[in-house]
Amino acid sequence: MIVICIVHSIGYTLNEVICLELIHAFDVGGSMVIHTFGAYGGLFLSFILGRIVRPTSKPETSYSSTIFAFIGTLFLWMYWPSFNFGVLATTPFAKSQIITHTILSLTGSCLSTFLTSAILKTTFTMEHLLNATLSGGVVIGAAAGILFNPGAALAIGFLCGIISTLGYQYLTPYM
Amino acid sequence: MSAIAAAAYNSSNTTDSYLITNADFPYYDALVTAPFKQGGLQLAATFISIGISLATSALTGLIIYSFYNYRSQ
Repeated sequence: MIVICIVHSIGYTLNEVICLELIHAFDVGGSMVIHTFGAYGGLFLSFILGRIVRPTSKPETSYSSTIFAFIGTLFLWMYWPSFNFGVLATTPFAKSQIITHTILSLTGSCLSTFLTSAILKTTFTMEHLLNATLSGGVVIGAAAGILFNPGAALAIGFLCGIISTLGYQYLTPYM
Repeated sequence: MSAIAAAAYNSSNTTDSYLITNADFPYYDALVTAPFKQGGLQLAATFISIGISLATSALTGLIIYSFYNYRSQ
């Protein structure tokens, strides 16, 4: 864990300097700099560590840990709009624009996650709900300040919820 | 161009107490004058993030693999 913290902190800082300072890409919520880096880095590292360590049993979750994780998801869901507008929004209009798009996108991802999870397993899977419901907030970070169509934000979130749920369902066994 | 957008918003919200001006669209001018440039930059930033994250993870995996080999000897 110490090795991961040290190496990934250096990698993240390098990524942020290149994307924001050198390229000047527009990224209000850190979709590209924070979440893309974390997602692909985490997936690839899980894949590598799974091959090195070769775990013999599947990870188990308890009722209390799931409840705590659910509370965490709830807080993330509520405060995600403030996370997205906190850095680059300079005017009241830009703030309300980013907040509106983030809430709509989160709503879209929440709807599609419940829908896809129910279709895949006939009942809701807690793992899907804990993670994929937040995917709307993640995906809209790059576009929340430049979108001018609330329907687009809802559609982006809806699509992302489906992709995220399918990813959890079909990619997790390979990790 | 942002003046057109501001005018469009204002014309549809004449009863609002807050009138939207050019200053409310800090990023819009850059997007309208060069939309493909900003799109290209975002695409480039996405692929750069993916590349750096994969390289960082590969380096971390290599270090952990070396530790495992060292301990098992």
